[in-house]
Amino acid sequence: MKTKPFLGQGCVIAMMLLCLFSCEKSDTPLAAYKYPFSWESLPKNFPLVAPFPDNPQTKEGVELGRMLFFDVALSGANDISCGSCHQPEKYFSDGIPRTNIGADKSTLHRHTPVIFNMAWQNNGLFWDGGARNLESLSVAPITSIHEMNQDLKQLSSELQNRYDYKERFERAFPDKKISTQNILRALAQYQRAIISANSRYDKFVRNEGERLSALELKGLHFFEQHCRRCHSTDLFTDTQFHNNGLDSVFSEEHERIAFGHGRVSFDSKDIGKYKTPSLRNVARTAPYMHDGRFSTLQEVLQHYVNGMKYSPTIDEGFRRADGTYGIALSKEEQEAIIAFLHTLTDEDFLKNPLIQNPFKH
Amino acid sequence: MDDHKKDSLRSTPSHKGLLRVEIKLVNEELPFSLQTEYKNANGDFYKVGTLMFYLSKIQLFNSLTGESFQDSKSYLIEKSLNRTRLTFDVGWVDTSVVFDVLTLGIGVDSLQNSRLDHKGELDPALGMFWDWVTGYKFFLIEGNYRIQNTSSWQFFEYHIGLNPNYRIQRFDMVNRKLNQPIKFRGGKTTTLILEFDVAEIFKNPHTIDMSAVHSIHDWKDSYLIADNYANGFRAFVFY
Repeated sequence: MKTKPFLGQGCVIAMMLLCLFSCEKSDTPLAAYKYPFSWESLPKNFPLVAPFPDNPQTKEGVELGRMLFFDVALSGANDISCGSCHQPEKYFSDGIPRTNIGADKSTLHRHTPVIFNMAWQNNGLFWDGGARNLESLSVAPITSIHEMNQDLKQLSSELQNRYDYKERFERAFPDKKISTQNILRALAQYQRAIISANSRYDKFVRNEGERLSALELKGLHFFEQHCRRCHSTDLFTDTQFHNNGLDSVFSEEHERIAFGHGRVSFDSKDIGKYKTPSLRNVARTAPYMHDGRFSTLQEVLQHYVNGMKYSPTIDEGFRRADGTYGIALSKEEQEAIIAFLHTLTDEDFLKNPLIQNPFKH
Repeated sequence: MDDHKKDSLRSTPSHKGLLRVEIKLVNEELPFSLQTEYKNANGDFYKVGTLMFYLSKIQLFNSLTGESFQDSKSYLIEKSLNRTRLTFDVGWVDTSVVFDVLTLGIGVDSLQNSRLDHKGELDPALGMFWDWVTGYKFFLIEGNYRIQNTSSWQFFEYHIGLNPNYRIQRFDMVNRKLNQPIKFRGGKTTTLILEFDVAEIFKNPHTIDMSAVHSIHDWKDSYLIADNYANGFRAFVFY
């Protein structure tokens, strides 16, 4: 991934973002706060973000999206919102392996993924990459009978007389309408505005006066050696899909959901592959993996040391000289890596009022 | 009629005619109806409860001069117990050109299919989207089937989408899919009748054994149905 800004693109983004936080048209709570990163200066240690010309961000759009994200009207029974699973205090995950709070109370097949730094996720969303962009992603959870079970026509109709949505949509979008399109776009704008880039590690690499301990620095060194191949850039993900040896057999049951990326790419070479998750805030976002099977970071590292299972699509980068798969890590190296991973926790993120549930006071 | 169409009508010059498309559903040349028992090419019996599909990128050409009329929109066709929508207006076409070739896509083209935040006919609120991968269902048929010599009716559903299943069809007089050239008269409507034979879904080139293929929701087996329904269309104009 590129780390050098491309001037033309950078200007577009700067203008887009400048507009988002400086063209104030309304007295929303957003105006009262200064965003941790002004949009004119994105985190210096982050790669360039691609522009979103089909859905340019506005302050009004982001704020509307935030309200929709936490509004239970988005569920058919008016009992859960996007924020019921994607909880800000848990870095927009839920802390449990697989939720069952959806409309039919069934246990989902996958763990609730975190939401932050989505503006940089340009290679497919969901654990398997099935959603191609944020504007399309929200349709699935809103309408799924296992999740929010809402009818999209009904939703637009319900919002007409709810709170001050009518005025908010008028301010946020040129056609001024409460429509599926604008609901999806507002949700996307909000999710792109959720940025986590203020961990101790960030302050350290940006020379903002933060220091890492000897153990943490050792951990960073081991991390660079053993983990960077997939958890690359300061996003700590290559946004690619890998089979990291969790399973040796991939069932065809439930419409081949166990195929992972292979289910959506229709390529057998992708069976069992899942998107590399970012390791930002990883110490606070247990459990781990696409199905939440590991409860602790120790368990995760133990998997890489001696728990990987062979299957034809396994990532060959894990192949060791003796033909087995895994990463050779001593106990000391594991401890150091875990110490380093704790430096990726962004405490400021939790205090950012601009991304919180606006219905909670 | 929406404001856009009203404006379009008001501003229509006299040298243009309106292209209207009317879908005529048949089953082996007889009028098709919902919940009627039919027999497919494999000998299985079926009854249809819902039939929906997208048509897109309707284009007319004069094969000699290269002149063309091009429309980029998508149109949702529906025959179900809730709704029948078999007619739509495409746009105003120059009367000075006689067109001998029609092309159209069955489904939604890859660009539109790459995102769901569309309005109008592609509004996901109409229900023709996938929830596991971004994209639209191009063609949907649901109903019941019964294998020969059995009395038990089972549910079948074919939901066909995904870019490789987008089928562009050409209609001309050489391939006998168009009965005569398409002409327009100033301020008048030319109705293109697009006949779709539902029996073709199960027939040509792949004979569908419904006991083996009765549920399609993703890539698996989807091309069989897409190949078949692509052969089911014929175009007619009458003056």
